[in-house]
Order: sequence, then C-alpha cells, then structure tokens
Amino acid sequence: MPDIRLERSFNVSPERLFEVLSSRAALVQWWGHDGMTLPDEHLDFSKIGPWHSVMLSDEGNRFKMSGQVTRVDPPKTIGFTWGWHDPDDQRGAESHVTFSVVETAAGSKLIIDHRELPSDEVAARHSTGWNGPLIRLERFLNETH
Amino acid sequence: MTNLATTFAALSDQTRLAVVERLMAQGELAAGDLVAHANMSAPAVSRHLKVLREAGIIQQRVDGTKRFYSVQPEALRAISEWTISHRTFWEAGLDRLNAYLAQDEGNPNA
Repeated sequence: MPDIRLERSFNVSPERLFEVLSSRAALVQWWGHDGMTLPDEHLDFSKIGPWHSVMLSDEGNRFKMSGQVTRVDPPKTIGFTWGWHDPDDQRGAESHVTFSVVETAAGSKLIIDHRELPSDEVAARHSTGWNGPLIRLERFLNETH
Repeated sequence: MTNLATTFAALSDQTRLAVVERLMAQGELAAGDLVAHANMSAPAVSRHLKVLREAGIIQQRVDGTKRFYSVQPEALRAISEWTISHRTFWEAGLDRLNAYLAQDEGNPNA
C-alpha cells in the first residue's frame, strides 16, 4: 500500500474541524465506512496515548486497527501510528497518519497523509509484518484480473 | 473467518510464505524448481506444499511424473479483503465527516 495524501475542504473554522477530528464524540460519528458498525473502539485523538477501533461489515468481517497518538497540536496537527490486525489479532506493519488542518478563505482544509514506515522493497522483504507480502499480493491480484 | 484463519496459519511459516511469493511472481512451477530454491530436502518441501494445498492456497497439477504448483487466486483474494486499502478507508471517512459537519446544527452552512 503506497503512501497516500488526501485533501478535503470544509466551511467550518479550523478550531471546529480540529474538534471533530480529535474528540471521541465526533470521531465515532464519522470514523469507518457506511455499512459497517463500530462495535469496539477507543478513539480519542485529543491526547497522547493508545487508540484502537474494530469495524464490523454487513458480511460479518471484522477489521481491527490500533496505534498510538503521538502528536496533538490544536488546531493544526494530529499524528498517530496505525497497524491492521490480522484475524488472529496479530498486529501487522506499522504506518503513520498525520491530520493537518489549514485555514482557508472558505473555512478550513484537512490534509491526511498516510505513510508506510519501511516503504522500499528491501525493507518490505525483511519486514516481519504483512506489509511486504500484501504489496505483492495486491500486485498479483491486479494482474490476474 | 475460519478459512481466513487457516490461510494465515499456513502462511505464517517463512518457507511457505516464500514458496507462495515465488509462485505469485513466476506463475506455475514444477516441484523440482521449488526444491532447488528452498534450501531443504525434497520431503521437507513436499510437507510444506501439502500444508499450503490443504489450506487451499496452492493447487497441484500432475503431468506424467511431474507435479506442478500454482497459487489459488481465490484464497489470496480473501486475504486482500481482510484489509481495506488506506485510500478507501479515508475517502469513506471524509465523506462521512462531511455529512456529519453538514447535519451539525452549529454549522448550518457546512
């Protein structure tokens, strides 16, 4: 999974945007996917510490991820680590997410950066996590379709 | 999820994972080719292949005295579906965030 960056503009103040990105009450309202529930979570990006969430799909598939909130700098930046758990609850390769809130004329903009930590092929090959194999798996499946 | 757990158990061994990765990269290979690269005896490789076959990760084709192995895309697809791509996750989240802010009374213009 390559590094990604997404941006989205909102017409709310940076302070308000930061609040819905960091407070548990707001996070549980938007975190996840439509068609999935959030049966278990510890989502609070307003302070340094551990977080996790479990999403449950209509088909009964569980998707768990967890990490550590490493940076909280209101109303500008939130940083946290991220790792998927496999069905045996083993945590896979770690990646890092940064939320950056920027003030704009219309309100504010959110930039999400999601970066793999060891991203080159050699590092992936030596990684004990699933990251390397998953990258090759994704390639393989794309080729066979 | 039982099948997925079996798939993961079978792949949790370095040798077996390496075999599957070679088959993904190179397509179908003869048992002899796999032994030549595995740095272990033919019976040991054969035991690993049996575990992978029983987990439905690879399939066997017999041609005369030779056995050929290839991956079962369906089993691997099940693994890829266990994680959601990061982009998909965040795009869905941003849409929900947008909807949440829009229906929020404090921000009628959002």
